[in-house]
Amino acid sequence: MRTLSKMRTLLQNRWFTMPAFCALLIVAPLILRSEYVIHCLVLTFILAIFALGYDLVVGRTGQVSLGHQAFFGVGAYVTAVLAVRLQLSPWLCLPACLIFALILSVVIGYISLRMRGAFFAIVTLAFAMMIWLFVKGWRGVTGGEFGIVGIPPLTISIPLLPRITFDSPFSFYYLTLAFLLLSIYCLSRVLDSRLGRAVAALRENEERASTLGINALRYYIVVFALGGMVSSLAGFAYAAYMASVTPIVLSVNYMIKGLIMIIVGGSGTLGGPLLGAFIVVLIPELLRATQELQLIFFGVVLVVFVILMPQGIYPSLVRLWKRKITPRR
Amino acid sequence: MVTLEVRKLTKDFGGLRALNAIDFDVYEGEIAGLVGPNGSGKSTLFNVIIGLIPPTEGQVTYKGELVTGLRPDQIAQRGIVAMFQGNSLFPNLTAKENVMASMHMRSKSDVLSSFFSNKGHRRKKDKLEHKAMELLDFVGLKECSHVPAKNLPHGEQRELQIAMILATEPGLLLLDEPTAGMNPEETLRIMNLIQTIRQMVSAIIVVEHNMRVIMGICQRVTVIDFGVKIAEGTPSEVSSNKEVISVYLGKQRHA
Repeated sequence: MRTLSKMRTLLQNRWFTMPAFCALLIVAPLILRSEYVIHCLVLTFILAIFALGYDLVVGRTGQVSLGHQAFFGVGAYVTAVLAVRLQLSPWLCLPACLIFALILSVVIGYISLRMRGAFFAIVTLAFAMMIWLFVKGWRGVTGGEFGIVGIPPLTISIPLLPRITFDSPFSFYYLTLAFLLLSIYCLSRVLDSRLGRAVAALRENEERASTLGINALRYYIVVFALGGMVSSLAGFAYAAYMASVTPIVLSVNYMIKGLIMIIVGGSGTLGGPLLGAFIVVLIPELLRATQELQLIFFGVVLVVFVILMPQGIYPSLVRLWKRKITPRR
Repeated sequence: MVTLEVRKLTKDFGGLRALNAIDFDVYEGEIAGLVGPNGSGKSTLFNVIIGLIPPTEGQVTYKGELVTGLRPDQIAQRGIVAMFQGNSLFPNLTAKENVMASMHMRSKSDVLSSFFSNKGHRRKKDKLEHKAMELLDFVGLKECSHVPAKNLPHGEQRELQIAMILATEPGLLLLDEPTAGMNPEETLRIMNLIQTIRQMVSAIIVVEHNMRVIMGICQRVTVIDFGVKIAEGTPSEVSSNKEVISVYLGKQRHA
């Protein structure tokens, strides 16, 4: 059929498929009636940004960090503390988050990235736990166990235009989608450079890359810092959307969610984390049963995927798509 | 002019002394051979020079600069680059990507241009890719540029390694048994390739078991056994050295 093959040719062109997909995402909230579904998509985008940053460490260095939730939580708490305790304008909390995450990730990375494997995992976990306990204990500033509430909404005031207030799932959908697309774009540019090639080489064969003049520690720290900053962006969005934060954003709860998104979605890709985020948000919805059951289910899914499909769903999906759009001879 | 000076180099692994106060020189423009039976310390000397193993005692000086104890990437940046026997490729990257990664030291950071200048970045990347293809063409791998390194046949993997080390524009080249596992025809081709490369670098050190290769391309040969230098000189001097003969014949008898 001529129309089918015309469609195939169109879909083969990257300049069509990507923008078309983005256009679909942009139009979606206008088609979807349910505010609840849009709310779920907002959470999906926030988690996807977190996973994008997390996978920058796990997928691009090959080292599994068990502490990346710290950057997500720190992003959320920096926003909350500055906006509520110091009355800082919510938008200014964004650069503050990124700078804080940059400093924190360089410090943690400088220490932990001298180690590999299990040692690296434990050191990153230790740092994250320390931060979690610290925040839980510093009741005066962080509100301890109860966290912080009352984060004022983000607003945009352009003269002569009505003020836009971000206080609904609908408005946050576009904000978080913009953050997600911006993050993906920035990371794709960074990875398509000499830095990206160095990191890929290190991941393939660290010893060989070293003997070819690539300083492993320096490049691992850069990647670690980028990952920390991207995840802190997710934390900022989370705090702004929920208008509140609690210590759970620094807990292993988010670490596990992150690892599931990465492993199930597809590590080492830019589309995998988004796919993983859809799944991580979808499962609790399908399993409207108890909380305990969800945690067990997550654990089982994680183990099954690590054993049977460690590269995640995304690569297989891409292969399937490519096969479907190639014209049959 | 001395390119590499190794003085009193000693390496202990716990109780085992792998290198014992070795003195070793490589002169500008020459191909220096390093031979010795298995377990003689050749690989250890190799790994100490390129910085993968720190020496227990002793010094390594390259073009007048002390390089003992530097990290491998620092040593590579100064121009000392090695080709290993196994495990020296990036398996899942394509041949072209392998070469481009090897060009890291000889290219400048382009993250900023990646963000801000689409055309400029494209141009920089094209230049890099063009040079990579030139190197692949030089070793005869132009058709395989898109093949993942792990899927290349063994001989072509060896050629890819050569393209990679040439990409680093090395000063001192260290080759670890470059003709291992090759038939006489391939061996001859590698020998000619090494002679050609000799013009492009300051000096070459070749570690080899194949005496014909050593006799064919080296100006000077050093023989070590049990971590100690037992002979040094031209290939003909060394191959007629009584101690060298007994070391090799002795090992054969016990083997």
